[in-house]
Amino acid sequence: MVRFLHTADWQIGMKAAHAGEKAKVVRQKRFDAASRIVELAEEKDVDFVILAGDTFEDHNVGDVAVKRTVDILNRLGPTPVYVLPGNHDPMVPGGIWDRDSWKRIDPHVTLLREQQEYRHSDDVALYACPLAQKQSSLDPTARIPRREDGDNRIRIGVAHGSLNILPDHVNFPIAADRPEQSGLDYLALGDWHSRGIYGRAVYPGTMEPTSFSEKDSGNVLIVEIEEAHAEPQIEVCPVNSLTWVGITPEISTVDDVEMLDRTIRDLGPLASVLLKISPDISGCTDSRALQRLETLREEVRESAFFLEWIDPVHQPVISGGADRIPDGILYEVDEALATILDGRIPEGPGHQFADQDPEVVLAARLLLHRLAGVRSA
Amino acid sequence: MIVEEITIRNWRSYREPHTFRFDEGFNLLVGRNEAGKSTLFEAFTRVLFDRHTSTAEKIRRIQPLGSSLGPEATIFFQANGNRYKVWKRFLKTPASEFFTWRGDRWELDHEGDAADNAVREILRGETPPGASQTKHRGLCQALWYLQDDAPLPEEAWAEGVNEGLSGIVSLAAKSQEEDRILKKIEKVYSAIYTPKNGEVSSKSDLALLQKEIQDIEEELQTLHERARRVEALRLELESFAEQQQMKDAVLKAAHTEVADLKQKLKEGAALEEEKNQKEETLRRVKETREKLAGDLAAIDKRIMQIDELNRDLEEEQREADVLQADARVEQRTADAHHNTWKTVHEPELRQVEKELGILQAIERIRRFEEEVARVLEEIGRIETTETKFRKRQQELSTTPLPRKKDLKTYQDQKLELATVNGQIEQAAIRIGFDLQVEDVSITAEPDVERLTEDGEYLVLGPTKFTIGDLGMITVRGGGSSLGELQAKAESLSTEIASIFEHFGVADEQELSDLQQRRQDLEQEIKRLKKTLEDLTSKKGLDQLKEDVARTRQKITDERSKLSATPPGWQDLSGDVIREMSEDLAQKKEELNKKIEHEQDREAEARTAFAEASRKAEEASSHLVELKTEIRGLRRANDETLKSYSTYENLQAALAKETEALKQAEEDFAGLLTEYRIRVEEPRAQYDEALERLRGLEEQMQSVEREIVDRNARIEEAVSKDFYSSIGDQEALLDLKRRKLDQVTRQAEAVKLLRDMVQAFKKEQSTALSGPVADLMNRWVVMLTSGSYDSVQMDENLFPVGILNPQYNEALPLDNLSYGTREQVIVLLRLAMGVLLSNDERNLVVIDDRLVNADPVRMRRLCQILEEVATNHCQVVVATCNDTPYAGIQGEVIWVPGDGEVADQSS
Repeated sequence: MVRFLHTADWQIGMKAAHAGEKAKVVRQKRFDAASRIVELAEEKDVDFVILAGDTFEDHNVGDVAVKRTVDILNRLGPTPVYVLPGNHDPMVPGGIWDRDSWKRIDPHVTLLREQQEYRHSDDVALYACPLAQKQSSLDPTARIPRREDGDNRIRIGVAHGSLNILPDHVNFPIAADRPEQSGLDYLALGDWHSRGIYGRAVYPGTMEPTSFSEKDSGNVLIVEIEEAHAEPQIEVCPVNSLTWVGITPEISTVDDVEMLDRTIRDLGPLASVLLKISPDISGCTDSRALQRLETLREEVRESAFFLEWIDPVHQPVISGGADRIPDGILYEVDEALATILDGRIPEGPGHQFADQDPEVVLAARLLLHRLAGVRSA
Repeated sequence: MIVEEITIRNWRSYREPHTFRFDEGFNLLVGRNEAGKSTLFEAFTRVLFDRHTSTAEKIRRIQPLGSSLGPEATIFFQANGNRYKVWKRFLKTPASEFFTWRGDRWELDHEGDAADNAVREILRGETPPGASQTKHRGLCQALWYLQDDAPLPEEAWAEGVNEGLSGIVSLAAKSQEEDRILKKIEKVYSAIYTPKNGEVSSKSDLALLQKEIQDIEEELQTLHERARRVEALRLELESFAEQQQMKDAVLKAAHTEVADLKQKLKEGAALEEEKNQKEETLRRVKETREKLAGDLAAIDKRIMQIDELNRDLEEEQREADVLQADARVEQRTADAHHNTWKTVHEPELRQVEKELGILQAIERIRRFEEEVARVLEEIGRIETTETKFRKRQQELSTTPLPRKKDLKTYQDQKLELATVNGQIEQAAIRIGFDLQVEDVSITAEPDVERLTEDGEYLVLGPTKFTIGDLGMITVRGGGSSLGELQAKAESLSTEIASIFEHFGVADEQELSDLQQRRQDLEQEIKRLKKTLEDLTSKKGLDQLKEDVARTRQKITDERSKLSATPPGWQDLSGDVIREMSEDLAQKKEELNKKIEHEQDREAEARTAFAEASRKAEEASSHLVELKTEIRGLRRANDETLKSYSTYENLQAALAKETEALKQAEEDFAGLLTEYRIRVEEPRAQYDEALERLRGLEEQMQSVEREIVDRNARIEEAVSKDFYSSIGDQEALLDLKRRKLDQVTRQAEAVKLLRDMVQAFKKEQSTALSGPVADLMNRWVVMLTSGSYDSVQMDENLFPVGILNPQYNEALPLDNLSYGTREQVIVLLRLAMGVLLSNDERNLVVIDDRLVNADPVRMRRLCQILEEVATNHCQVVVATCNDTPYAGIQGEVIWVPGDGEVADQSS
């Protein structure tokens, strides 16, 4: 029996540009997750740890990040750690693995630099498929030898790439039946940030989410294999610090806003949540709902770790907003703006502005209302 | 607004306070030229639109001439349904106050700048830093047509096209709420765009954001550039790594090759050993043969040398014998010469020398004797001269002879006596007698001489003159000096006499002769002394005498030598002796020459002998050397042949060894071919492979160095953590861009809103120009009796042309006569006044603008003015001639020249 921890895609040093001003904190949080992995490995008393590629986001990540990673990996000792170069940190000359800061790594960490068999023990063999470039259309696992007759060792493939189950052309495609073809008991994969178990081919997902589009990320896997050919037993263990949540609510009424509020509150403390909210208010005619939505937006902005609020391209025009605009030029201007927003060409001097960008027209009208002291959308 | 009242003081010609009140309708301000009509309107503009603190030239000009008082004015006016009062004082203690009428009293609302601003806001004007201009008057710019104003603004009404029209439009809107919003729009707009050209202001958020984004993009570009450099380094590194891999393979192959060759060389070691042995054998055989050949050659050589030496020996022996014979001949010759000069010539020479000596002695004796005679003669001459010298000295010392000094003394005294006598004559009394009687003798006692030709007598002492019978005259004498002179003369005479007596002479001539005699004697003594000195100059008398004695001794000596003088020689004459001496001397010379000749011959023979002897000696010693050498060579040969017994044996041994060498060489050559194939060639290959290996290793090191270098450079570059900086900057850029999108949209919205407002305003002003034109058209038809029927307006509300219905053609306004154009402008102002006074009357001012109207038009203009004043506006017309306006109902305000104001309603 063997028990090991399978993780991948640490992406240390990732830019996290889409986290805006929180990018730096997001980068820091990845080390917290890595530290939790160390604790977990000890707690679960694993035989070894597999880090299946993309430990680092790029060869150029800062020295401090590399050193901190090395420190964390060193803390795993004496538990053996097998680190695979992925497509973000491939085995190339002058790459991250040649860096002075990486050379401080302790001997219990094995960098799987060669496409070969690494014998963990008499009973366990690892078949490493390190990447030596960033892109390729070749299957990195193709050279894993078949299980020979009489070979009763637990054979584990370690690779990084896209399991060839998608219709699109992918980078480093990996045959979906690789475990069967090569007689592997487990194919420890990396590359996909969302967790995915496809028979014996398994992605743990990134240990700390990196975008709003990921599913089931923020975990590592504790894998137990009783013996050769036995079904692997997989335990999912969360280690993440931050939660990334994307919501696209349809807002028509105040109730819709309240429901959104509840949804957000259900996420728990927002201090560790990155929220992306793209409200659809195209069907909203209730100015109160919009006002409530605006209030909610401000509330969430204050409490969330990070909020990305996507304003809809088409905003509704709330009628009755022009009641405080006095008669005269301004009233006529407002009328003309409303006509343009309505998709018609206004009469009089307003007709020359008919082809203006509706967003700008809307903004101009909102501005006019605001200046007139009228509360609008 | 309309004006109710104005009071001015210290204002140009108005030194005292003057108050003018205005009617709400028509007001005619009448006054002669320079009375102060325009001054009043100037006060309107200064008080309503200028800062009270302004000290601009225009303001300073309102101060009364020669005064430093502060011009001040108070205006009461109505606007927006309120009554206001504003008071301002300029220059001296400037002040400004603004009041509002509330219920029953005036309340001070603002003071100072606030008061200025309050008025400006009500009138929608501007308060520039200096004196205000027409364009700062807001609405009043259009409604007040003052003397200094142009018919129309340069660009547009009020401050530029927009500002000017906005004043009118705003007022036309008459909505404070709208005005407030419009102002807000302007404010928002001007926070983003520049008012002049509508471009984005560099201080706006939009521009700042754009700048920030540009900075971030530049920063990002730098960071990306660094990333590209690292990537390039990595590419280089990859290439080097490939090279390293390839070279490693080549290096391994080279190592294998070297190892193989090394093995081959090991295998060829036995052959090497065999080759060395054969080489050694060959060397030894060569050595033996060479020795034998050497010995044989040496012996042969020596035999040849011995033969040659023997030949030389014989030759040289013969030469030595000849040389010795020569030496003997030379010796005999030398001896013969020696005998000749020694035994023959030398005795002859001695005899000649002896005879010559005798002759010379005789000659010397004779010469000595002559010498003695000569010296004796000289001694005699000296003694004679000495005797004469002494005799003359005796004479000189014994005879009294006057010296030159004595003669001089005599002559001096004689001269002095003559002088004294002259002085006596001068000092003497002169007495002359002029007697009337003739033949009377005059005598003197003592006698005096008659001195002068005039017959005067010179009296030297007491003298008694007897004059014939006539009587006597006694002269007692001269002065005391005369006596002294006479004594001196006597003394001198005595001395002269004593000189003569001393030398025994009677007169001067004798004295002189004696002196000459002394001179001659002295000269002779001197001459004798000189002669004596000359004679004894070389030798003294005693010396001469010694010489005589010595010479006589020499004669004695010589004579003693002449013991063996041949008989008769003593008596030979000098000439004979000289002749004989010369003969003997010649003979002696000849003998000496002969002896010398023989001696030379002897020396030559002896030298030749010595040379011959030396050569003979040399020849014999060379003979000995040759013999020794021959002996040595023979011994050497004997020595060499000792080990071979005989010469023939040696020859046989050499032949044998030559054969052996040939054999050994053939053997060695055979081995050498194999050696080249199995040893030499692999060795060369080995060296070459080693060299190649070293080259490869160097290349490898070079590649490794490059790898280390690139690694270090990458390390250095990435250590700066630009990767996360790129992330940070990208995040920031994303944020800023999103913000920019928002701000841009907002800015575009502001611009759109403002543009639309402007468009609507423009339309409104165009709409406004319609009613303006309608009114004007009506008035123009009326004024011109239908000559013109409509006025064309542009969008700025400027009349640009006027239509002539007869030709249905528009004339540009500039083509009209001055008067007509002026009237059209006045009509425009009135029309604007009418239209802008829908809700509230506004003041229209026409400052003396209608002077060029003919009476008919003037009458019609008055009708129009009355219509406007009655129904719409407050109108103030200033004129110096009230007659044309007589028909208008309204207030006439007189502006008298003396400053007094008289109201007279018509």
